[in-house]
Amino acid sequence: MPHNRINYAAYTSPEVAVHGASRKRISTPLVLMIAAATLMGAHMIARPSFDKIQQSFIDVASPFVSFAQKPLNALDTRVQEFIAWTSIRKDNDSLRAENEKLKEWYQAALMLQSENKALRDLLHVDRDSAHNFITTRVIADGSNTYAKSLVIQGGKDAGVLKGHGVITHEGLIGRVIEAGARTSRVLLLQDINSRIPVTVEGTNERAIMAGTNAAMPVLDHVPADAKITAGQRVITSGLGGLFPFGIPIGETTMNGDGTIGVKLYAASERAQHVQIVDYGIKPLLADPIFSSTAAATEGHGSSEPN
Amino acid sequence: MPAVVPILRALPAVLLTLAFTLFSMHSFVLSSLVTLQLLMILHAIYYWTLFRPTLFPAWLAFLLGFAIDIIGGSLLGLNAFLLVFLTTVIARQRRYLLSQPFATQWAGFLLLAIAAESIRWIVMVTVSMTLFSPASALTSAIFNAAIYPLTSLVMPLCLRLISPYKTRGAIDD
Repeated sequence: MPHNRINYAAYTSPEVAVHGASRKRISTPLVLMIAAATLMGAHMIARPSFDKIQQSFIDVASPFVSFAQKPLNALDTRVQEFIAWTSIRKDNDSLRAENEKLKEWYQAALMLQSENKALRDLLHVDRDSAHNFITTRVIADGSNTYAKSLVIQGGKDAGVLKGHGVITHEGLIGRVIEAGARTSRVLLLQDINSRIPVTVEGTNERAIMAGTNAAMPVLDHVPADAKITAGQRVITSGLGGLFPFGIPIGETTMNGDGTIGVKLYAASERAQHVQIVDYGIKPLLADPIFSSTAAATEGHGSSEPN
Repeated sequence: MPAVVPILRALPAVLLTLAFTLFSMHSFVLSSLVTLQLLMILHAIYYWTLFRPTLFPAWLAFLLGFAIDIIGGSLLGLNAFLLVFLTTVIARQRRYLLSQPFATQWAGFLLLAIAAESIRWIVMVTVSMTLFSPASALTSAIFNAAIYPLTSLVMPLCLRLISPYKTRGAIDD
């Protein structure tokens, strides 16, 4: 019964056990490593094409990924809760102080709202047309040590296009960088490749908010004589045509190394649902594919795409 | 039915490897500076290449690495290359590691985890021309190695299911 015999020799010799006959021993892993290295090189050279292929794979795998990520997301929530629990007293104190401040702001906001309405009525100002938006779910956290991104449900089939802004109820979190048929990838503001033109409220200083892969992006190209202090609001400047003016992003903080950081309002790592917003503007830096299809997006949406 | 039994016995090992693969795609934000991404698939690669190499050939390492690249949105081929390379390295040290006590095997895994994160860090720094802080990579490697004793408790159970008459993984030697 030779076919029933266990080939102990195959297990005994590590080389043979892993790679079979001596000729194959070198070839198989080597060929695979060369294939992987070629793939890396090709991805670096033809990034847009490979990103599209990558997004197509995610489209196909999205139901499985969405299902499989649920326990991991739950674990992530527990980890975040534990981290938050360790600083609960400090958080409580700062929240009390913030609450007091917010009560004052609430009264001021009511007054300003009433004054604003009266002035608009007086001047017959047209209200801005509503933006198109889609509310959708985050199905995978594509972030790692070297990149910060999210995979969200909803792609070209639901009207999502490259360049659309992605916000939560707290503020801007990023923009769509690749839209597949049913899923899209969002480049988060923290990613090292993210650059957003911003304005610091109060000073009207313009700057570029650059991701650092850490929790806080920094402000680049700040004028030398800019009088920016900690705690000032950072909003989109509208320059470059990527986003309209005034979307809240975060608050300035002074880093130890002399740079100005931005503490983001929106916690993208805890976001479960996001809104993809089409502001109806064509970005100046859009690629031809986006420019030719951007105008095709019509209609207001508020449903979760299937 | 008899043909189904080996498949059922292998199922826990397959599911565990898939779970490790999924876990490898996920990251946890520990602080503003450190993002933890545990390359858990290394546990499966290390254990199976040591104790049952026929169950974890290089092409499987390539496929799982490719899946991590595709779904994780990283540079295509990076993890595929890394996993095949590490499978080859472990296979070459297999005979030595099998004859060592658990502590040495654990230390071997720590070195492997550090090597894996170092390669990823070097490739990403080179590709993106940005000097990333190595803190996240190093922390991930240490955390990954720290949980190896836990996974090394579970994986022998899978091995015993596949080979019920063998009590130790190292019986092959």
